[in-house]
Amino acid sequence: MKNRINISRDDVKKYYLKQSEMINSGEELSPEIIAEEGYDPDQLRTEGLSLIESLRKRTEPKEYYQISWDIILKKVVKAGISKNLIENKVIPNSLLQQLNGNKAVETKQRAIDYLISVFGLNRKQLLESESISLSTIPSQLAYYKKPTNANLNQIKAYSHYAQFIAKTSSKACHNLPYNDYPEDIDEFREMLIEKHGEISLEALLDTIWNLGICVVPLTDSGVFHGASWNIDGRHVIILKQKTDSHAKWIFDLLHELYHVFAHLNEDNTSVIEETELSPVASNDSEEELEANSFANQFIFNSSAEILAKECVTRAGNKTERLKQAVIDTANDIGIRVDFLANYLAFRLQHDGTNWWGTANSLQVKDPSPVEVTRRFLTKNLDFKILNQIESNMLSMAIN
Amino acid sequence: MDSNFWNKLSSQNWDEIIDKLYAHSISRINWFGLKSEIKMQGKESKDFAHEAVTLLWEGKRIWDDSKEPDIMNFLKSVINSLIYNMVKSKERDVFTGMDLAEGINDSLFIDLMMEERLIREDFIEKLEGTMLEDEDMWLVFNSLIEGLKPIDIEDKYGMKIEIIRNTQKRLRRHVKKITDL
Repeated sequence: MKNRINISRDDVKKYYLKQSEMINSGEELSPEIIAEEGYDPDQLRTEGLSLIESLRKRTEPKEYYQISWDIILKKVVKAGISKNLIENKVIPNSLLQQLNGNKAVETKQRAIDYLISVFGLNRKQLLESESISLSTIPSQLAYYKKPTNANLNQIKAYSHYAQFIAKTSSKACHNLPYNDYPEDIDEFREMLIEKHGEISLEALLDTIWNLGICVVPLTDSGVFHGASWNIDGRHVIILKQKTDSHAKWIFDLLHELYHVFAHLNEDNTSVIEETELSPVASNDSEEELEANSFANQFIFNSSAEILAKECVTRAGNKTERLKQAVIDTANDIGIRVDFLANYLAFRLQHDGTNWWGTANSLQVKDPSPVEVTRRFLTKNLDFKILNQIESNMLSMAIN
Repeated sequence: MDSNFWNKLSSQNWDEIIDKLYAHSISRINWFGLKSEIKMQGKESKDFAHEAVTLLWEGKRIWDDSKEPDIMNFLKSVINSLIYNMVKSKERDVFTGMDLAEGINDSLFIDLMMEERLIREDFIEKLEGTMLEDEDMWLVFNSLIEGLKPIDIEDKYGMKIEIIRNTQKRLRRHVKKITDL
């Protein structure tokens, strides 16, 4: 141990300068210093950004806004953004009402702020150019089923919107802890069964949220069916479908979960599902087949095909007897009837037979899966952390 | 405001800038024991960051990027001058601080503040006393003033990065405590 230490004023100055340099060069130190001071770094950032936003609006050159809202709308629709999406999910209704025939600069400014925030558009280009293009891709997008050129623009536009919702959800779930993911499917199944006893949508959502993964339900039609993101280390799954079948929601959620576990380790990456997911698809990419296999293994414990054949045998190869055969087989084995009915319907569809009418009659549809998924989400959302645009957009998206 | 300048301001990465400005303001207030002083004026550390960006957007502080290309450095210098002017104006009871239009860079700010009154001899004595008892803190402090980064300290002395980070936190807390006495 030393007997004496000498620190000069110059040393103190050097230490202060080094601290400054470290604040400047890294992104990690600032939130640490902010938190040490007793501020919540996320809340303080929101406060600062909202001040900057109000200053930005207040000082914006007014000559920009001679252009009418209709012309702006035409430009964005031409770029692939659906008018329906803008009017129903992006611009709040109250603002939309004010835009009709209103020449006030501030109203247009506010509406344009929504378009810029969501679709990453350039303000100058939006206001001054003849046409605009969605040039920046929201994150490193992966399509394991390649989209056709015909809908690529639409998918790109909707991806911007969906990514905005995913990012906003991730931000609003800032209190959600990050937990270790299970090592394999058996560990994951054990986690769920140990707590809940059986596979249900509620049980699956609870288990997934406990891992620190956000699940967001969207109900818009078309464009794509589901997606998963890694937003700065937080995984977000978006489920987007019209059906009320719990079995389908569970299958899709498990499928997306596999992408999260296996394909989204890198920050700011995503997987987009362009078409409806099918447990028996055979012409998909390796990644899609792996994700299907994970979902099937989880639900059927690797015995989906054996069970399907058992049903057909019990039904004596007669479609009209298949319903009872499915019910009996599922009950004998101890799995849910709706899971097996769905698998059979997809299997038969693959072979050219439409058995969906019967399969649908065996589905569990209550309570509404959208409602169940939304309940888990809203429980974890902290709207206080969001700015006005984020808050309005997320509310419109999930309600 | 000129539309080109407005676009330039709008296109800055404010998410990152604002965090750094807050950390900068907090550090300046803590290093020179100004916490109770700003409290008496009804202010918080964050207010200096807010004031700096407001002055910039309102055109009351002009950012000339041909002189200072980094907006972060410019805003930091505005915060420095706001803090320095607050200290000076209180001391003399009338506003006689530097011209508000001039920013103050970090090195000059630290010199000015040290000159003013705020690095007292007992501050250095207390710092020395603590470091005599805390070898990790002494090592980290010394390494930082030599210009090493935490990762370099790990390489040079084999100290785990978590220990270095925790020691830095301890050092920051200590500086804050002894300047605020």
